[in-house]
Amino acid sequence: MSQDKHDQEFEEYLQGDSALSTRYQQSSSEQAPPGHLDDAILAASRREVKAKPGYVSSPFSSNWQMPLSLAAVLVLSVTVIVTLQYDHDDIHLTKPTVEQPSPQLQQSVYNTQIDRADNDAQTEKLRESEMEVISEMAVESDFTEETSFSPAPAAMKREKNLAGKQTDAVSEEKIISASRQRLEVMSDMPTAPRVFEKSFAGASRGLAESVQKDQVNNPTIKAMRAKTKMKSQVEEFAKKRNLNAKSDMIGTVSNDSIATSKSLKESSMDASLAVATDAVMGNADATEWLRQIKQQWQRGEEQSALSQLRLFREENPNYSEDQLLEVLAPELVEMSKTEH
Amino acid sequence: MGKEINDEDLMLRYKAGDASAFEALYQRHKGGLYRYILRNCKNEGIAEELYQDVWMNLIKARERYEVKAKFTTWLYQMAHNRLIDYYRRQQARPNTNSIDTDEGVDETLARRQDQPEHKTEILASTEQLLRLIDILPEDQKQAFLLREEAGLSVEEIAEVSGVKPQTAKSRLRYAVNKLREGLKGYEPG
Repeated sequence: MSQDKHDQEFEEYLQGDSALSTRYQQSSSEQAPPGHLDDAILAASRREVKAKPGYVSSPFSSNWQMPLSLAAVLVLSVTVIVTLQYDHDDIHLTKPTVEQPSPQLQQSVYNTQIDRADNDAQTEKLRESEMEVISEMAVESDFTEETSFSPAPAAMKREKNLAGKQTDAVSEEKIISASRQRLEVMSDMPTAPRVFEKSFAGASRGLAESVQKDQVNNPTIKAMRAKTKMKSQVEEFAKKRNLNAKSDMIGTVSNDSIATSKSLKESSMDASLAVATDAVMGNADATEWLRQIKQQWQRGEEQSALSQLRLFREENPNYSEDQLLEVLAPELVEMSKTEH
Repeated sequence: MGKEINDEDLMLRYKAGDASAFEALYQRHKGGLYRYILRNCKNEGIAEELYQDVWMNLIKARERYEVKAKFTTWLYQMAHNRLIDYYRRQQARPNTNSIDTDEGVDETLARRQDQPEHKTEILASTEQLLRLIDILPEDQKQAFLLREEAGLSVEEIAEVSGVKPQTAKSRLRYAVNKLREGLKGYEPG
């Protein structure tokens, strides 16, 4: 009963209409802080306003800081991810591709090569024998690592020199392009990889040189004779070692000549012949080479002999002038020296 | 008559640089805050010091002020914290433990009322009321003073005191009951 009364009185008190509250307000109304305290506090408040005139709440203060920060982080993250993804796609899109030749050019090159093959059966035979020689050399080699399919540096150097001076021949660029297209057609590789395309370039230059040499006196054929001789030596060596590897072993050799032959085999016979000829020429016996040059000179093929001698001197810088004079005519040696 | 500007708007105006807004706020709350402090510390000199400190803290906090709660709650919370600091420094806070029973006060009141000279001293019920408030446990006294001087609700008293609303309500209930019991002999008429 007493508890209920107290609860009721307390509820009345909370409602604000109790005698206790009224009495307390009456008793305490007279108590107030002293005046000097009021003055000090109000003066301090004015000083504070003068020192710092005002603070305007930023629209992004407190309540907005957290969501705004989260939104900024989210936008930045998405931007970075999208940017990285875009760059990644770009890398995939820039994969190297091989240009497709025009049909007319393919046909033109094809016809040219057919004509040449028909007109020179002997050359074809020599080419076959040349490939066999190169294969035998691959067998002879002990290298087993995969090689790059680039032409021999020495051959490339000679091709470069020749290409710069063959202004009266068929345009080198045309021949290179034609060679490349024909090689792709014949090898059923319309999208050959770039590494293969490098060997095409070397082979094409070789083809340009081959055409030029045919126009002069077909020195390639002469070179083939020397290579045929080498072939017999290689065959003997292979028989001794009881090896019967030819084209299958080409991919495992590493010297420049063999690497060039591999690329030639995979491309075309015409182009490979030129490069292979150059490669073997670079490694041919220097004495035999000089003898050929001498014969050219004696037959009155001055330009051919001169160009061959220049190549010879580049390939064999250790050959002194006296050594050359022992074999060649002094005029030829002098010309090669002065015009070089 | 225009509508009276609430405390929060006045404080925002003071934050924006309006010194008169602070004066208005000060006039509204100076009496209640002063009495709240005085009743708690029971010493005029200390009360004045603490009172000035609370207002100075409010002036310094002007630039950080945000309307997150009722201004009165914020003001009395600062005062409450200042009193706690004072008690800690003095190590003289009596009855710091919450006493939610009537036993201690009842005994004190009974002793005082039993003394004849004490009865003769008290000439008015208002004086008796103030005396009764003085001898209330601190937590109950705080709850009662926050209710009477600041006009806070039970929830706001709990917020200022840092306790649950039920606890604040219980404290207030005990305080009211004790004061009523102590004033029975002094009822007018």
